[in-house]
Amino acid sequence: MEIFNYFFHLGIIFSIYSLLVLSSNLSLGYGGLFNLALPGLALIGAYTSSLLSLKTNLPFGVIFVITLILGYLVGWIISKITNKLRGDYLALVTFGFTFIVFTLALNWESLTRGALGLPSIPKPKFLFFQIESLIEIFIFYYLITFIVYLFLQKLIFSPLGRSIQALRDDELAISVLGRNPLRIKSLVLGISGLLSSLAGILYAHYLSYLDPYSFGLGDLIFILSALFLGGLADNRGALLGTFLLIIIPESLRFLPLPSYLVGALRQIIYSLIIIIILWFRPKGIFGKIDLS
Amino acid sequence: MNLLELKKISKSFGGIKAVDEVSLEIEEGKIYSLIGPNGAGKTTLFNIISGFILPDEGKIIFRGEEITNFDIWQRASYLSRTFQLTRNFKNLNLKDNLLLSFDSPYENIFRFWQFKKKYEKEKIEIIKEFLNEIKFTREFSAKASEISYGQAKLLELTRAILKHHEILMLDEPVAGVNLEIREIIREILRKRRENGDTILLIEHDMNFVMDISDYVFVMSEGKLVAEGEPKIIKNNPKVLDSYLGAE
Repeated sequence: MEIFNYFFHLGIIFSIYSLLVLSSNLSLGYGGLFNLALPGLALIGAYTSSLLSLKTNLPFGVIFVITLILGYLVGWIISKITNKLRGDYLALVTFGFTFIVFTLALNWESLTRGALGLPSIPKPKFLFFQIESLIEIFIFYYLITFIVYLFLQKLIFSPLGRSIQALRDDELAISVLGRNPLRIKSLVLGISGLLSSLAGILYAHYLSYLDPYSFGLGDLIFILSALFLGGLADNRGALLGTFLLIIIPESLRFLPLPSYLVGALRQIIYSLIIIIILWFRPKGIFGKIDLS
Repeated sequence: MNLLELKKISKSFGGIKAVDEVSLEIEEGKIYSLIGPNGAGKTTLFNIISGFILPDEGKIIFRGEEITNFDIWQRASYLSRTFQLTRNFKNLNLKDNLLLSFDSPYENIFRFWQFKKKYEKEKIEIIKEFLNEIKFTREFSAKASEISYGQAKLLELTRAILKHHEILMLDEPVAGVNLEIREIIREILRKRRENGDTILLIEHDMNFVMDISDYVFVMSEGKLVAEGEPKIIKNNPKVLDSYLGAE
């Protein structure tokens, strides 16, 4: 039974990180926007949902919706602030945003308890249905990931998705065709913010504990590695990249290695995968686009 | 009423006046050419009309309405344009590149969910009809980054023509293309004029300009130095002086 629980746990972690990688694929892969605010947005989602659950009597469904709207709004605000920025400059500012959120979470102790973190975050509950057991959480999270995947596929293959991809290729040329690039950017970063905060909610309510280190630089490296491994601008690639980067390092657990080596080997494996993929298949497994 | 009017447009970069008090008027249904030596300010003027650069002084008036401070995408409802170096969407295939010419009703967050392929089928028919006419034979699934330079020119031109516009602005439409494509482009422009389209183009190929244009503007060192019908412009001493460097 233990082994099943372990696989359910891995599956749940996969669904949470899939949301972040899909979110990154929307902004970077399809929209060409180097958005590194995702861990910051996930922290905002996780803290908002956790604090509202712990400090108010609002039903989880309401908290869920409020947090998603907040995630969208923060993404939208980032798009307004970074309106003129592209490429490396956008990456720097959004990376700065992640650090600001992290610093706030760490130092605003009266609200977040700082490094002590928030314990006893309740499990999700919709109406009278309490999602408690591992298998229930597993099913609920997969349902959400599946809905998000369908939503993104529908979006990308619609005329709106075409404009999003055209923005990635040439902002000036899409403006000449009558599209307002700022409106498209706001939409992309807004949805990206919503999906990241969704990942944050799922994370906090699954582990029942949250601290400022829950989403940070390590997660950003994971997200980008998974995205480049699977290939930019293909949601199947995003899912496959996430799956491989979770499964391959996990296999180390079954090798007769001392525990102090496992952590370091995991980082080495990430690096090796990225080097191999960049060397032999720079567009990733399913990748379609060339960002150069 | 004129379709497009420029009133004393000026633009400086640092101490250099790239465009110096240029005024011109464009009527409907004609082909206009903007010629001049390199560095004369032609592309800068094009970019000012398109909204890429705001002028320091002067006004741009379209059908009596001032559009000087409109954003690029707002002006796009009036004008279509191509670029000296083609700007196609390199990671999109030809079908998607051309479908972007049309303003889809499904192109917003509240309606994308309702999108069905029927809308696109109608547009694809229009595209195919146009491409057949110009004998453009590349398959729709090819990426824009995979086609030749001449085909890329035709792709960009097709997109600009199919997009709703009242004036078509072409920046060096036949530069660097082979004779066959040059003839195709000449034919496309003639047909557009017959259909009542208004075209403003920049071109260095004098034979092409003199053959196709109804009216020619000549720029030199940021100023409009002459204008008139091609046969008059051809023999204008000012033009010969500024353009060919004749004594």
